Amino acid sequence: MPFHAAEAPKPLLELRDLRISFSSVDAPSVLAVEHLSLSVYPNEFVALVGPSGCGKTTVLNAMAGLICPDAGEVLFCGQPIQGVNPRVGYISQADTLLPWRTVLDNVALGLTLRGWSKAERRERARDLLDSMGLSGFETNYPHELSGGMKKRVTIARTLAIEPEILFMDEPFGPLDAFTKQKLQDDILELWERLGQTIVYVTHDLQEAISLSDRVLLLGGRPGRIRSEYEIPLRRPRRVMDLKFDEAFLTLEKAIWSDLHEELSQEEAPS
Amino acid sequence: MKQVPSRKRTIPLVCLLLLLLILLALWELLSRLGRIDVLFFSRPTLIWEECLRMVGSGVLWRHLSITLQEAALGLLYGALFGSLVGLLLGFGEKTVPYLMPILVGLNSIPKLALAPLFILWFGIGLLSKVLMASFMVFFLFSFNLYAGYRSVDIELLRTMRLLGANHLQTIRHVVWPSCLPWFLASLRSGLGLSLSGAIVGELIGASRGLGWLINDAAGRYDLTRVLTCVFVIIGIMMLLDTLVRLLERHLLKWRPNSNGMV
Repeated sequence: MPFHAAEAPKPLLELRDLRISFSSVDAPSVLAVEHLSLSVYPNEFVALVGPSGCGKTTVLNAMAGLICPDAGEVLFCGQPIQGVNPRVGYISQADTLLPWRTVLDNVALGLTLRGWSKAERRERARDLLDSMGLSGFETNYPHELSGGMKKRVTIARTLAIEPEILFMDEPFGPLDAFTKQKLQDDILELWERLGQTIVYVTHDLQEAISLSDRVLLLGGRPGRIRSEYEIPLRRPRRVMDLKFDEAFLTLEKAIWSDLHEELSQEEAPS
Repeated sequence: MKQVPSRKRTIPLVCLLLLLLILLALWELLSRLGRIDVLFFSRPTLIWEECLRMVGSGVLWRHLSITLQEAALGLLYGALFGSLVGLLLGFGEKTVPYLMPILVGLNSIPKLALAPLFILWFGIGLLSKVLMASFMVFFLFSFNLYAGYRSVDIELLRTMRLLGANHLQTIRHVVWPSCLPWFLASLRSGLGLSLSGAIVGELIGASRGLGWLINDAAGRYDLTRVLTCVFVIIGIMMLLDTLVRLLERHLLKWRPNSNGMV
């Protein structure tokens, strides 16, 4: 529909007035997210930031179709999603490699499930491992790798199925600062190379600003979008160079004070 | 980490064999000096000669093959149905409150004491021993596989959903590999149990098999033959245990340190 495209880019993913609550047998149901709307556009790098417990992961899970909202809509390419969206790549904080599969077979897992032939999927997996700087580890088992290497394998596995959108939920949370920064640079490089649409959930403000085009600040209980910041920093970026960048620091300060306000509101007795 | 130096592994083995040899020599000596009654305790050299005789005449294999067949079939059926019940308990979590008490109750029966009943119900042939042996191992597999199912990592199940796996693919790629260590551990303990089941069944009522052979020899006060059979059982068990351990090492090579832990 060319005349639509001329007006404004169509969102790849859209949340409309989402409402999610969790109920359990022996506790009153908790309203996790309410009146939450957002759009993600093709090739965009969006960061979802907020204090822990504000429903970031819940929103991401709803976007992936892992949980069903009580009200509101999740649209992918303009269509409401039904069940788990197979065109999504999802990388979480947890180590989700299958310990009984070699590195190569782990990367090829999604392709195995899609019925690719052994030769084809291994070739593709090998190429991906190569591009992640992991050639030579094909026949190793996950327990023989470091945390950073495991994360790379996970990224390769996710890219193997060529997702149209990539969700990352504090993917580098448990890693040490040095490894984390290296992987962040890898993600930046990857995004610039592939033009992959990414939604990145984190509580680390610096990480969010360094990586993304747009930061969405979530407020808690129930979760909603508190504010939105465009990140006009020049690309290509490198995390290290940004640390002392004037524009970066100004942005960080502005979002921090916003976040601080949110936190003090939460602490105040209602 | 991958390979323990072979010297480190052979030294304990040599010490073990040495200890065994000393004990056997002591036994032989005390027997020859008349300190222990050869009628009741026999003597290593006599046992060795009897063993050679039984192997030579084919008696040993004739009975051993029957016992092994019973134990193997028993283990097969017990493992199959036990695992199935264990996994079904896992899949149908709602049935656990109904089925678990029944399983626990049945398991609390001293199973070997039921051998006479099995003989009465299913005759003195192969069937009663096979059923006896599978009854021995059934609960082991069902409890362990249920525990294995519950140990499946939820994150991995979620990953499979996100990668678009169907139920069968999830079972094949995640549930079964997670349960495999539990299955192999059950197999190792199950070997001994199924063999005891078969042999006790034969002791009570049979016309063939190692158990029958032992019973027959004991009736004739041929303690040498009884002890020969006992040593044969020990040897067979050690052999089978080693085989399962090798299988385990091969199938579980993805586990940290499983190579070094012997």
